[in-house]
Amino acid sequence: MIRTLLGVQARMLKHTMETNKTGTNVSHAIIGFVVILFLLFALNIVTSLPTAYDTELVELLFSYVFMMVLGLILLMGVPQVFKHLYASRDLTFLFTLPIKVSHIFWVKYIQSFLNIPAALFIVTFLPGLAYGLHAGVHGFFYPALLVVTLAIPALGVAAAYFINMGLVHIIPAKRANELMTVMSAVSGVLVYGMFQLPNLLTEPGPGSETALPTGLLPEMPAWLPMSWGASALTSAMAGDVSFLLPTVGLAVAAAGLSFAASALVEKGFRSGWIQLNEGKNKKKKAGEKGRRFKVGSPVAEIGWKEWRYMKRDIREWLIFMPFVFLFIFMGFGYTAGSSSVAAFRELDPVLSWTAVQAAALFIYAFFNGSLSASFVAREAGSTWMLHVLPLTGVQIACGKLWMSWLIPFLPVSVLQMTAGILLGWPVSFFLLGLVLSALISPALSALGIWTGAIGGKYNPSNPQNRLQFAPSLLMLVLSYVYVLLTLIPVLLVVVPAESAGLFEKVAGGGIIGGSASAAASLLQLKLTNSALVTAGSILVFLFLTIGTCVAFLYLAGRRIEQGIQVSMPDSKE
Amino acid sequence: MAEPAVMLDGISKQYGSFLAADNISITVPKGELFGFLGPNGAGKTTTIKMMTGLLEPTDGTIEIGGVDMWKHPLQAKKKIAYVPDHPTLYEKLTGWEYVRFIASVFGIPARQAEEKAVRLFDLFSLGSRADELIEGYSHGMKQKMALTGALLHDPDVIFLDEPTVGLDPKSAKTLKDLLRQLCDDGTTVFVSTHILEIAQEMCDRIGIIRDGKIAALGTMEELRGESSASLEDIFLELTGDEEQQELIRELAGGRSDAP
Ligand SMILES: Nc1ncnc2c1ncn2[C@@H]1O[C@H](COP(=O)(O)OP(=O)(O)O)[C@@H](O)[C@H]1O
Ligand SMILES: [Mg+2]
Repeated sequence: MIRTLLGVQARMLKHTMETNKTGTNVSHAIIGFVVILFLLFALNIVTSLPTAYDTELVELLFSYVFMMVLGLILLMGVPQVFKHLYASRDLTFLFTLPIKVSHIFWVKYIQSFLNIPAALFIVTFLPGLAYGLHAGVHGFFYPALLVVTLAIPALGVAAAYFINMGLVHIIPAKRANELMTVMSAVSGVLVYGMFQLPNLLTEPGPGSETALPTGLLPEMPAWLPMSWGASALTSAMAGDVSFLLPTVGLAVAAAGLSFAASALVEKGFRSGWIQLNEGKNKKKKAGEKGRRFKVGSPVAEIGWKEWRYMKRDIREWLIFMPFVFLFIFMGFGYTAGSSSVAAFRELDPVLSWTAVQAAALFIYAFFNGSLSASFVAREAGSTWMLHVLPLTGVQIACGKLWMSWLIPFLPVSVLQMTAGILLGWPVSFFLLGLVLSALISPALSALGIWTGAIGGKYNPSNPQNRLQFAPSLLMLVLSYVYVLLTLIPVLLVVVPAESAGLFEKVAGGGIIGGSASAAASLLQLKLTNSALVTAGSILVFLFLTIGTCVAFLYLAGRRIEQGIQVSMPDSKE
Repeated sequence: MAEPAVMLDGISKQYGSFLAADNISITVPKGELFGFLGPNGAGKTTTIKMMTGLLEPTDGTIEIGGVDMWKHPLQAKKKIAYVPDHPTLYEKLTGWEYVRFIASVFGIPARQAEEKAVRLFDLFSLGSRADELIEGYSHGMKQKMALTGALLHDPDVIFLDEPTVGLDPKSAKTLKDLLRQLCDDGTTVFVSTHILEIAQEMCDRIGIIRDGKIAALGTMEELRGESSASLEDIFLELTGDEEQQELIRELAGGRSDAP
């Protein structure tokens, strides 16, 4: 039965690939290419390592590599497993067939493994192999390597299954739809905690940078599976028979956990799935009763519609995850090094202002596009409505723009203001910061709307991922290029003309030298004709920001009128 | 004579090498209830999508009240409403919010939209659920909500794709009566169906489509009177013929023989 099911899956995958748009296949090819490139890179590094090794250092290296592998699997695997377990569309059908639930489970399990975990196995096993050959280690190393690099991902997958099946029962049914969000959040927190663990346990001493290796990377507690794997490998390298214990231990742990997961299946898998699907039909009241019936302009109303969508589905909030992590990191940084914050306070307001602006722009460039794109991709099944309604494409684009721009703009501005108060900026700095953000960020959102219109993707069980790979890459690059371009006129206004000499020193050939000499000559011009350069810069800045925004809105509008197609991949992906 | 409400002239739609609609020409005068009848896969949905601006025809022109749908889409779309066979509405909005959205798009004054919506909700027995999110509705309720949205702005032409499929008998009856009433008041209704009885009992005129081609066009009496072999085939296909009945009996019999 398992083989039949796997055969069906393989055939479906084949047909999916055949019928995919070329763009999707191209983006898969790009991903494959990146993996191969990474592999070559890793092989290159590994084979250029010195053949004489420091056992302690190698053990540490291994344990960190394994930690990263486990971290990646949990981070991406937990939501992925959730999809395979509970969100696949074929489950409804499979459950009506006379197939053992455990068989369905194993198929899903193999599918989960043949994803990121298998890729991680390849990118750890092959470089490990290369290193072994290169360093000429003992023959024990090779079987140990195979077992360990297989067992670690298997352990990760099994853990992901446990987490999923456990949480499905803890979470109340009516929240089950949002489970995916919780899954991602939990996996993020877990991984973050995992990486912090060694840090928290060991306090690096002063001047630790020279005290390799323990200073740079804290040692890992020996009871962690990563440490088992690492010690297995280092013992095997030396030809020490004691490698057997941790190797076998790891393999047993992986197998044991997997079977334990399969034993839980009947309870966790099927009943969890039922719970999940019942949860969906729970009525939800959105208390707007008694409020007066109002009618707005179409553009405003489209924006509000998007807002309600976001508000009512926790899954949509996932898009704020990077923010949350940013805060956690900042919080950690604050408590860990209050002395450095104090030092930051002493900073010249000009410097601190520049730093905060740079951070804000970085966030906008990173965040705005993907948020706006998700506002377009969200239409998915309901695109027909926008086409049938008498709305122009630009109206639709504007409706989505204002809300998707405002959502990041408000919190980031509040943060900016807070920073400004803490850092003691003069009032003019506050205003300037706001004006800059308000002018630069809308174009980023417009870019996102356009990207969503050309490459939207919608998978109801994975809502934070709403762009096809290639368009999202394009959007990210364009976002940063745009921000950098807008910064040129800003810097021309802000940087004093006297620093022209500074740039002249760097001036020369190449990109850096070339731009430095361009900067030098512009600043020279500013020295002689300050008003002209300032006015010109402001004009160029306005043209760039407003022009880009309008241009992308127009393009997006055109595209929407031609008919956007949001690709809706099967939840298998 | 006044402009026809809907005018299709030589419409074709090609999917790759497959011709889903082949040179279709139909004219529907104002106030007519036109039935678009055909078996599954005949090309009904494809044609309706072209008429509502969702699918660009490979060939031919479409006019709604004299306005070309593909040259002046905005003006044409102001005149129409469309209820698809599987209406995916904005699931995260409540019924009322959905109505508000539609009213805003068409610029209907708040008072007027509210009154109209209340009447339609009553008619479809949706009133008690209108404050709930649409995602919690059943298929039939979603269809009725889509109908409410479609009727809100008093469209000149309404396109309905297999509207009775998800409805219970009472709602189906309500819908039929409503459509009849609308036509009598001057609205034009274009409704697709694969059910012969529905076309028969409520439509003024029927166009029969099969394999992307219009096989016959006229009132039911005209069609019945016409005795062409191909038309006969279609009726048989739509009703289920003798041979099929035989097959069904055999299958049923075969099952009881099995161990
Ligand atoms: N996107 C598409 N690509 C290829 N063929 C399609 C597509 N959509 C519909 N078809 C084909 O066009 C024909 C007509 O479909 P449709 O208009 O949905 O039929 P109906 O609504 O009458 O049941 C069918 O044979 C169907 O397979
Ligand atoms: Mg159809």
